[in-house]
Amino acid sequence: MEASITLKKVGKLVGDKTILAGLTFGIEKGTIVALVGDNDAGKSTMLRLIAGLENPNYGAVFLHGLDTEKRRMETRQTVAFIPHDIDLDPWLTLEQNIQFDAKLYGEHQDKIQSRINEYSHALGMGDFLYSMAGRVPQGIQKKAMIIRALAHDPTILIMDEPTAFMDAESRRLTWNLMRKLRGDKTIVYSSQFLPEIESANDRIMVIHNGSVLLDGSLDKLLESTLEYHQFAIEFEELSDELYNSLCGVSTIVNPTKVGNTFHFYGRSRKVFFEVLNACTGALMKDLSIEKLSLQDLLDSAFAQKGMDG
Amino acid sequence: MSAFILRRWWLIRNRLMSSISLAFIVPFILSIVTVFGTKNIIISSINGQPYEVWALPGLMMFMSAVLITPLIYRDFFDLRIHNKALIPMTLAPIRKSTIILGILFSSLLEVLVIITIGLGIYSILFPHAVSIGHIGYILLYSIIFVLLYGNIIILLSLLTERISVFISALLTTLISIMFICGLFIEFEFFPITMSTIFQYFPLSMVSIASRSILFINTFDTFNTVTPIIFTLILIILNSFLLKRKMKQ
Repeated sequence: MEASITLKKVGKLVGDKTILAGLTFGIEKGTIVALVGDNDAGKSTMLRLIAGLENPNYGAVFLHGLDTEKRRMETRQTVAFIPHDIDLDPWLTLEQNIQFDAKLYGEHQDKIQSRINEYSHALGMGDFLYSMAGRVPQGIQKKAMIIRALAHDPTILIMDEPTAFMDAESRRLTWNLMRKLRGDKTIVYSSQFLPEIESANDRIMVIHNGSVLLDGSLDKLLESTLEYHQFAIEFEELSDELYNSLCGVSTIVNPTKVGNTFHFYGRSRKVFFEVLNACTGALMKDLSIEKLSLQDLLDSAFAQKGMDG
Repeated sequence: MSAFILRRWWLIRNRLMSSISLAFIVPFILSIVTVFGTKNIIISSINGQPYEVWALPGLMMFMSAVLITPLIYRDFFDLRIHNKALIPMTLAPIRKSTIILGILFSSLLEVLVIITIGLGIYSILFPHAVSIGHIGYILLYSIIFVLLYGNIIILLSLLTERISVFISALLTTLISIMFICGLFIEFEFFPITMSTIFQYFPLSMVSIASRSILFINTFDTFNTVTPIIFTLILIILNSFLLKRKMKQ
């Protein structure tokens, strides 16, 4: 499948701190890719690099095979970026903001107008389109930013928290539109809303400390967790001695202590009984067993160690 | 460029009443506070021109500087630092110099309309001060002045990150321009060394060149071309700075 976006050994530094560390991957044309990870993991920086808003310190970003630094004008024509924060001119109406931006891309008025009509209908903008940007709720402004990004008909859409500030209905309309655009446009986005990611993606990339920790479809990523369970045992008192003894059970993964609760991961329920054996005599108050979900993939400590850690 | 002009028109239209009020109030107030009082102190220029006639080009240049300042501040400082609306502009497939020129020229058009109204108001306040033959030259040199001044304010806007620093720098610039660029006070009023230095400021050159063509009918090539060259250099510098500030 043809790659829309290619990163080759891309690195970004801020001072001495490495924000992105030698990333190399490709994103197929027409797919929806979700970036997930902790705050400060490097998601926004990665999106800004792909959008051409920043340049990498080393390596290169290619859009449709063109280097974004060397073929700046051509690549910018093909990409649109929606930042997390509102960046509309508050003294123009939402429609004027969209029109102005599309005109900077050299689009004809009739095409701009027809796209505004189409996307504002899809996102349920109504009469808000003709209100001053500074006077409408931020969720509406964010929808206008999506229309603005689509008004010059980019083939690549980069979105940083696209549904931030939106209510549930607006989020639903936004993702309906994105699913409709899938195939025609390559969409890369970051989000903290897990249900959103679970419902709209062809591929998920888990970013941690500037590196891609996990990469694949939701099913593929969860496949490796299917046999795993997350266990929690709350003790009357979890002493350091008991905690160390429990950590010594060879079959448990990523044990942690939160107050008097001992958390760990295990591949089967058998592991649970091994732990129970190890804590004979200690008074237990509560216990729980849960199957792993996408949330657990985002648990950076867990993800960093890996399922087989 | 047409996108920037259209945007400027929308900005005026969206605040139509305040734009119209501004177009009349600013020229009126500036004419009164600068020329009315001073003409009783400085009756005529050293070359014998009545003060209100001599001060007219300087007043129009100062007025255009006052008018373009908030427009430049808004686009290059406020929209860059506060609500980030400059960022999508810089992502468009256009050169940074196009953004600088687009904002500058579209602002210039708004300023030109208001200073033309200003000329009308001035001709009412001082009926013998405005000569029809002078209007073209006054507007031409006001354009040269405001393009250079606008670039200086763009430079300030791009170099500063904090509003307090920007306002201090802006006020210092504006007040300095008012007194040392020969807009309202002739260079000869200053000590000879200072006067010589002040006359070589590019903004001072514009006021010298305008008075040369208006009052002694001589086109001052050096003092006309030098500020234009400075403007071009500043456009290149500002384009580079904008690119650096946006980390692009």
